[in-house]
Amino acid sequence: MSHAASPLSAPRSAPVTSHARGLVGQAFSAWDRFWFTPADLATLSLIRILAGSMLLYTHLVWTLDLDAFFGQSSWLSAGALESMPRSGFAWSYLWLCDTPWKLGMAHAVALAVLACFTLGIWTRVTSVLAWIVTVSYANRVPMALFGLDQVNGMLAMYLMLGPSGAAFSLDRALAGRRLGRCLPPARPSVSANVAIRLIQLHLCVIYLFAGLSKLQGPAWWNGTAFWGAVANLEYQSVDLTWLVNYPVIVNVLTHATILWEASYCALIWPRITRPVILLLAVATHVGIGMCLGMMTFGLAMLIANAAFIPPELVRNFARRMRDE
Amino acid sequence: MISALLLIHLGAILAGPCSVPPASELSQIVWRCYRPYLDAAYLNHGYHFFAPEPGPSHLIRYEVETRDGRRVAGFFPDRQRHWPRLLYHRHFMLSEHLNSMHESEEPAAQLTAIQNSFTQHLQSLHGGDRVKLYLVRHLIPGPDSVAKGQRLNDRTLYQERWLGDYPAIPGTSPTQIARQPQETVPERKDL
Repeated sequence: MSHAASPLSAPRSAPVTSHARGLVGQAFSAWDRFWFTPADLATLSLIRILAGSMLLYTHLVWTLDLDAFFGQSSWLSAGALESMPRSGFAWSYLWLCDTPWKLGMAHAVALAVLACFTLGIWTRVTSVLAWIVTVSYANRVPMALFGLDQVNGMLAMYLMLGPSGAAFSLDRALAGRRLGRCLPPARPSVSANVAIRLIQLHLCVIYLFAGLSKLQGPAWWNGTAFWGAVANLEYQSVDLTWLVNYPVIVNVLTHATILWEASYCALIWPRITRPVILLLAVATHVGIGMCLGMMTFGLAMLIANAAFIPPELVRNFARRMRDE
Repeated sequence: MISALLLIHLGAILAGPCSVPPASELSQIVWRCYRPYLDAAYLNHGYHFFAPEPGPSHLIRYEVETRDGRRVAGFFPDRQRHWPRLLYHRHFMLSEHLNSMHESEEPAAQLTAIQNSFTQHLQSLHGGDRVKLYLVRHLIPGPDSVAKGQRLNDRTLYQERWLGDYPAIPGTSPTQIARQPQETVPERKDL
């Protein structure tokens, strides 16, 4: 026996409950789409080459003063580091290198690992080793670090999670040579998508807190903070003190910095605003690099921003380079 | 499972910057829970770049008395000696971090250990017995001053604070990190 549902007998909460269930279902679907849609490996592999190059350069520079920063009589001795409040979980294999010979050998191996990682040789292994190298060096000299190292560490971690050597790598080229033919592009991968999404979200966190933390300072509100950067002789690499004659430009640049950083996490996602935000990233970080002498940090941030470049663009660019 | 790990990780990368003072008790509690993971993964960062304000920069000036009676004076960071720029920046961060430790009034034992470490390095570098260490604050001139012709390396913009003599001279304490009156340094010809 069937009976038609009577509006008088249906509970009033049913439409609300089903609506709520619908919303929750949509949220779960959106989450799944965001994280677990297989992604083309091109962007992640490009980031591997760029971030690997930056890691290699960062560690090559340590070579110039290796003993001063990592040796037995270094700026930061074991005792000095032990006095600093640390959780005990900051590890480094460099503590095992207690003679110049061991330190030199370990450093040479580290550079070789980073070079192999950049070129995409045994990438599944070298990506993990590259992260181990990055974290070990950072934890050994915490007082000599800055934003560059934070971004290096972030990128090394996420590149380790995804198959960053599956494209634009010697691994791939050699695999093709073994088979005697050019391999088609590797299949899209969920782990590549997860790695890219983690870089994207981490970048949003960086910019959001970089912007919000500035709001605690009056100079960012009254528009003079940019002057504080250009008039700092220790940072200066291009003299911009002529801006003293154009205070409104200083105000504009100060306010634009905060607006861009604080809004990045919202405006980077829509396709219509993404190119603008990325162009502003290039302008900001190239400007910081050239005028404040932090080119390495500026480039590292731009490398992280490459996570928002569509893989089709990367492949088209690679194809054009190959054809030329 | 993977979604749960992702959520935990996202919580971690938010906990770091949220814990930078001024921070709530809740932020600190969450951060303390995440700290082992953050430290192990080298993710324990605040991302407070040039915040709250771009402030003055800091250098370390030192005088080393060598065993043969010479005096070696220097400072870091030093653009003439530290090249490429990244190496200069590494030395710059040493002096900046030491200053921030002084400003946040870290325990005297910690500051002494760090300063001892700096001086032992300088002693080994120059073959010296005694090292005097000074923290130099380089103030940023206001736009009005620069408009009137003040240069960025004007001597009045440098303030120096004696950090200590290492090893200790009898009668003084190497932990002379109490807040001494700041004085203007003599003219810096080398800048």
